[in-house]
Amino acid sequence: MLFPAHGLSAYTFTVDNWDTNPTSNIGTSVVPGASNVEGSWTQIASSATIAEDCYWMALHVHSGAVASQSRSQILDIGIDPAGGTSYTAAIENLDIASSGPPAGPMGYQFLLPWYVSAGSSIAARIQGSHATAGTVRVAARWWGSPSRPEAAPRGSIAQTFGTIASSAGTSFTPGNAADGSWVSLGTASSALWWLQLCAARAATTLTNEYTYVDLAVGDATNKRIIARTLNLAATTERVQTWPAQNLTFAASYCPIPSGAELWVRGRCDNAPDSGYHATVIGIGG
Amino acid sequence: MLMVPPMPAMTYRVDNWTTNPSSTFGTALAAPGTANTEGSWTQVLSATAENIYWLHVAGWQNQVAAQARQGFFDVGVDPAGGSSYTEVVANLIVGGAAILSSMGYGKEYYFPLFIPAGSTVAMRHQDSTASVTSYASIVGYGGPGGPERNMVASVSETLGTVTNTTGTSFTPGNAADGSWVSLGTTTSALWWWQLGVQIDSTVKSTRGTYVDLAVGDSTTKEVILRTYLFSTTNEEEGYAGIGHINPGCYRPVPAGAELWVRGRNAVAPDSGFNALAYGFGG
Repeated sequence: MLFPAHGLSAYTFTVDNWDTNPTSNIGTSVVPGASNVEGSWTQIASSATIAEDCYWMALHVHSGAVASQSRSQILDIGIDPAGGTSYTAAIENLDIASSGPPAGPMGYQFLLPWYVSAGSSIAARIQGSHATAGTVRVAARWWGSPSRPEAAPRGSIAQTFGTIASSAGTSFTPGNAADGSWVSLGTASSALWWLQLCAARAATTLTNEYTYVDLAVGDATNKRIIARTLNLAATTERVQTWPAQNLTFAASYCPIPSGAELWVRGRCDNAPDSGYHATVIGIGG
Repeated sequence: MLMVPPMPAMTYRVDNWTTNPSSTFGTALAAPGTANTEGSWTQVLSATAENIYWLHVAGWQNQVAAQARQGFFDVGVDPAGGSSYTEVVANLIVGGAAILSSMGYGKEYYFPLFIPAGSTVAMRHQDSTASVTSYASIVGYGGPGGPERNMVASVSETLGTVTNTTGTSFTPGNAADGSWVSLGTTTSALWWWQLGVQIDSTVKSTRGTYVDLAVGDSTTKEVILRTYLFSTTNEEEGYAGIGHINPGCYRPVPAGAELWVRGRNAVAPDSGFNALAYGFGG
């Protein structure tokens, strides 16, 4: 068979919404909608910022946690190709519950091979479960001007796996020093090649426990594990999922065909807290 | 449109994670009884079933409050599957790496390195404090495809000047970019970059610091990476967020290229910043 040449691309155009000087509040403050209502779009990159076509978008979502509160939250990323404020959701329902601050546990990270044309504006909106909206920080970075455009991914289809209820993804119960039961996240509507596991938890009381979260593809009887990450929390109800699973090409580039079913399970070091849930973002096109 | 994949899908994953997760998952690496000397090799992966093309290495629990911990991890490989390890990556900085039960993250590195099937992998620890233990986790990604189907790195270089267990010193700017400091020049052509940073101080502040890695000369530079190092008053450090592992790590540079580092604080910086850069190629 013809096998296309492999290779990465060097990206010489990089922009972000990081503060000019580094602070604990890196990124843009986004106010979620309260009581399971979508929040408003908040711009995280203007058309002037996206001066060139961008092929990658990385997100660090943090500082949404509040002690003794259950803060289930889901994040959408919207794009207006005209550079205005009429955003269309491109990536929906990243599960970002109770994200901790940079001082730790530091929240959630995502790397999305999502093509954005030059001159677009980009925004974020968050739906939260709590009656008090609070704030969440979204730090983002984009890469463009690839040295090998033919080798640069151009994600144009996104599918969110998991059932959204009360601003959270599909619930699952980790096992106690054992693998929990697999829970289906649904099936792919089209062929996808990039997967981001959004493993989160929220409750009014979280303990300092550690949980492996596995993502698999397969059916009710046969599954192939394609990802394992580590979710942890502090007793201040701050949550983090280890970033490596989502930020590395080797872990995230995982082609699956249309119709493939995805599954999630957890394994905790003790009797797990309640409130684990997950979505998966699949990118294709 | 036809999407040309950056690499074949990595269908083989191997790690040293403990059966059940914990605050010390991975492998304990003890530093020797003499400060600033290499420890012994400790196996972290038994003979691999398939070729490995990418490694993710994380170090943590190097931190102790009110101590200026400076630490390095080396990675070694024995292609014969035994315990005669040859160093393949030198001096990955883990100084001050946080405790998982506290900050939740430490110092992570992700890089390409070809390790043939059947190899064993080990790590060793050098520290500015004798007889201390830190933890390392490692994940290898590979697959059935041969080198002709994958991007293969077989060379690594560590750039910067090592003194005891510190790298090249630099001083971040106060609400401004600090001055560029040279880390030296590459011996080989390299195409993937990681940056290691630590703070050699018994007193650290709770704050973020941008640390930039660039390639160029004394007048013209291209920034490759901007890392967001976060430290706390508990003398913990870690690489927070999305600056450290991302598509920007791929930046081919020729042999003889000069690498530079600089930092930026929002206020007057702590003392003791030092860095090393790691380039991979071949």
